[in-house]
Amino acid sequence: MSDAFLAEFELYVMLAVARLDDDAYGVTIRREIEERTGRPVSVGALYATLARLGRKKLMTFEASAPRPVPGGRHRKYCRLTPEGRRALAHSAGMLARMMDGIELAPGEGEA
Amino acid sequence: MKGKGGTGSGDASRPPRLARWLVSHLSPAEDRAFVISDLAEEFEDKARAQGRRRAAWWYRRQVLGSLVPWVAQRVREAVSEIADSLGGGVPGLWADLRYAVRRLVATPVQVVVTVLSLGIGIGLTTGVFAVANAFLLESPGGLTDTDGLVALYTSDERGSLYDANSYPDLQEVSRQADVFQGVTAIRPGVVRWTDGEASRRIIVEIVDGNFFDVLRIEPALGRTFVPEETVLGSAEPVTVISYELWRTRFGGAASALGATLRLDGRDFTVIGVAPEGLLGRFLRLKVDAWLPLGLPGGIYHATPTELTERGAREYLAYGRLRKGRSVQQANDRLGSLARRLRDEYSDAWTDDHGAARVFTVLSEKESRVRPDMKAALAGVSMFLLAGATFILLIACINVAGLFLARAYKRRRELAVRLSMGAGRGRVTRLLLVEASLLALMGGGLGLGLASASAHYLAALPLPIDVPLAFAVNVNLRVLVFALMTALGACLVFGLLPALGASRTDLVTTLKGDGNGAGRRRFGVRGALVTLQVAGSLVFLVATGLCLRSSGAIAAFDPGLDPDGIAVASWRERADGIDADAMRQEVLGLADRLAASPRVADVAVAAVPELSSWADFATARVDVDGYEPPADEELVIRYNTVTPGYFEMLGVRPLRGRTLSPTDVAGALEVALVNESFVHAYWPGQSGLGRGFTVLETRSFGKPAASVTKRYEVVGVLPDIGASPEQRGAPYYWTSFLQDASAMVVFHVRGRPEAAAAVPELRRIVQEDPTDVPLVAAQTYVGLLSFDTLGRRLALKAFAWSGAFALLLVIIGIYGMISFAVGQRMREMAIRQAVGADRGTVLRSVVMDGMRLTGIGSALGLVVALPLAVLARSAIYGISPMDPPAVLGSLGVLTVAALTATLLPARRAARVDPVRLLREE
Repeated sequence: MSDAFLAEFELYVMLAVARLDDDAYGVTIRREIEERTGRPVSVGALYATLARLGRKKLMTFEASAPRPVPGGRHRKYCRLTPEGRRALAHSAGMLARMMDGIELAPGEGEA
Repeated sequence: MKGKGGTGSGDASRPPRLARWLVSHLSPAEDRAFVISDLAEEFEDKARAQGRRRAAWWYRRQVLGSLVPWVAQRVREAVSEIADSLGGGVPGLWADLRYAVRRLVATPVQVVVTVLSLGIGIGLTTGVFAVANAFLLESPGGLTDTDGLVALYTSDERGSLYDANSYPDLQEVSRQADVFQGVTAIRPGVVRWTDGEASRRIIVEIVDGNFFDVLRIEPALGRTFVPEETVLGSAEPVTVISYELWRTRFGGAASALGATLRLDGRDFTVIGVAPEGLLGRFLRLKVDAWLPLGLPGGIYHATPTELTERGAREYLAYGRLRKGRSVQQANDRLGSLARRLRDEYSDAWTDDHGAARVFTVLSEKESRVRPDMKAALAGVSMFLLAGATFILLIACINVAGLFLARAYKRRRELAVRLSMGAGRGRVTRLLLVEASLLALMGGGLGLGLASASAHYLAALPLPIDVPLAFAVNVNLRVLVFALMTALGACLVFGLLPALGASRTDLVTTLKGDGNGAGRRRFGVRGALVTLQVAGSLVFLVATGLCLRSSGAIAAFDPGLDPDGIAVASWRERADGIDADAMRQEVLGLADRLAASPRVADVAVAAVPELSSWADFATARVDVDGYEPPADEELVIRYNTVTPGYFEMLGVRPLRGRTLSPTDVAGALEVALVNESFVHAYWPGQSGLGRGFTVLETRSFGKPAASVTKRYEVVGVLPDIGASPEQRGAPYYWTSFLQDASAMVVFHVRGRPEAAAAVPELRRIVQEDPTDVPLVAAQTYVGLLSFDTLGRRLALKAFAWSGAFALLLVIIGIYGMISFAVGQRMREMAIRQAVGADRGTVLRSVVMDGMRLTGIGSALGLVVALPLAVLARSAIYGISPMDPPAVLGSLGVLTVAALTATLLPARRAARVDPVRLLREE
């Protein structure tokens, strides 16, 4: 499995989950990606990707108990599986190797 | 009212309503709680930080951005479920099939209703598809080898590319032997077939001797033409007859070969039978016989003269290209040929705009629908198909409703099955098998209806003496279309909602009461029925408007009574016959008619004034003392009639006199005008004694005679015309004894009634079997009914569609209310138990039904009225928002909805609370 490519958005989601550690659920993951990439992320796309990563066994989920507020919120907490960590490292490594020695033109990206 | 909650001030802290609704209905079930919670959490944060409006905007953006992934996921799930369900192997499938059949048999009413709904919807769409298919999509019309087969056209006088060719031009084309293997000419025609006592007209194609060779058509029996019997000028009277004629007239016997067919008074020997399904090259008409060109003296209009005239462009043509030659090469070659012909025969090869005419070659496939007609035909077909699809959708709503109801009823059973470990795939497969069975039955019924309606349409007797028969067949493509539509309808409208309903939370379904009490009363189904009501109202309003238009037409007084009158046109006047001779001939025929005991009175007119033919006789005039607005031509309609015409038709002059036998050539040129003529040009005057000058008469819109002739008005008649516009337009009459006319129509009063005189007209006026009259002998009333044929057919189509739609709505409302009532039995029982009387319960159910009907009707009117205004030109004599039509449709719909609601409502009111509650 580890030699499978991760799609770009999958990679972002996994990186966000890795960074957020214990606090990775829908809201935080979405915000993390939006803040770092500057691109809007829809909740629908996020959950579709989470489901796909779950099917690939790269991630496990745990539903929080409803919180004691009106409407009792559920949160779907995400955690990378060992296999997920391997895939992430693999992908990140591939990216780094591909980038090695390439000078991208400055500007455009960050303003 | 319960279940409304969350309106008013409570909304301030909550996300926007519609977006919230979308989230709770479209997001994938397994993550729904998390998605709702996540969005709510962020919404609240944002609302605190940036205000509710920004937060709401953000929320909507989120939902909008999520729609695509949600819908995609749903579709993916459904597809994989269906795919999983097919993995269970054949033995399991067999068991499912038996189980499904048992279940369907157990609910016969639901099954009948579903199959009927589907059948009606599919029958209509398939019928329209079959017609469109026949004209647009395929139909090589019985040709099997179309490789290298091309159609040839010459441009017409207006520059349109695809007109017929002249025979001498085609002979030149066929000399381009290095491009064409062969070229064949086809002259469509109508001849009279006399078979013993009986006699009728049939459609024939008069063709070159190589016709069957070029088109590579093998006879079903006998042989086709051989060269020695089709030599131009001395061709022999032989014929290849159609398969259908062979079957119907000769009983399909081999003895048909050698038999004779009497056509236009000449005996033709049958030498062969065309293969089954071979259609005419012209409009795919059903042709009964193929005859050779070049018979001595010719037949129909295919006379030796016509065959030598460059200007007589009457011949369809096909060619077979030599191997390796392309359509482009053929076009290039004929391009240079056309230039040569233009130099040699500049008159015949120049169009009205002074441009050179051209040849066009199209491959047979391209020629099936003329390229310049394709868009129009496709447009009409799409319009019809859209209408039929609309009905199908209305029907599908019933299918969806029924599947939903079944799914709800079975939620408990499904939940038990699932909890006992049945895979979702198994359960899906059961539903799939059920849906397919229903689709098969619905599709089968639809196909039957479509084929019946196609035959009905094909056999529709047109009120003309020419046997136009279009071939519309229900073939394999149509069959596939019907079954695929049925299956698609069942899957999309039946299975998907049912799957959604079955994907419920096992625990609540098993634990709570599986009736779903406390849920919103109608939900999606209510919305669907509302749409259904709206859709059917559109058809009902259309029907109402058509009915009222017809009523207005029937009630209109044309100012002239066509009852008891029969009409027949005399042959078109050949050029070069002088007016006096023609007049003598016509008056002679009138005398012969008058001598018949079945004819009470005879008159002659240029046109039957009340029919649409009246539009074809017009004149450009100059009226004394009237100055028309700058650069406007004064063109008005007129008629030329014999004295006695008005008396026979019961028209009396308002002032002055009618025509008299002394208004003959050489005497004062007299005219009668109608009241509107006087009003328009000489207001406030009597009009008598004044005059006008005819500058040019026109026939069929083309200048007929450029004469300058002054008439003096000797009488003023009341307005006459088939419509208010016609009646209100200026009109004049001149004397047949002074003027000749291009068209001559005999009018006779039959004895004892109009129909009695028709055979006499045919015998005396239309005795020439080769002539196809413009107005076949018939009653005047019958002729007028042809003008309203389109309107009457449209009325029929709308009325049937409206009736179908109404029926579907009744089924839909009845099904939904029964279902809702079933769901609420317990609530009703409790309400009755705590003292609500039956009336209250009844009222509450009826109100539910009526509310949906009300909303649906309002929606329907919003659609129907603008459509009616758009279709104003098709509506006659009434406003597009004609109150009786609109209110009438609303009334019919309301009564139907009420009936459909009352039946289940009474059942609810009759509930015995004690028994029901104890059973629960």
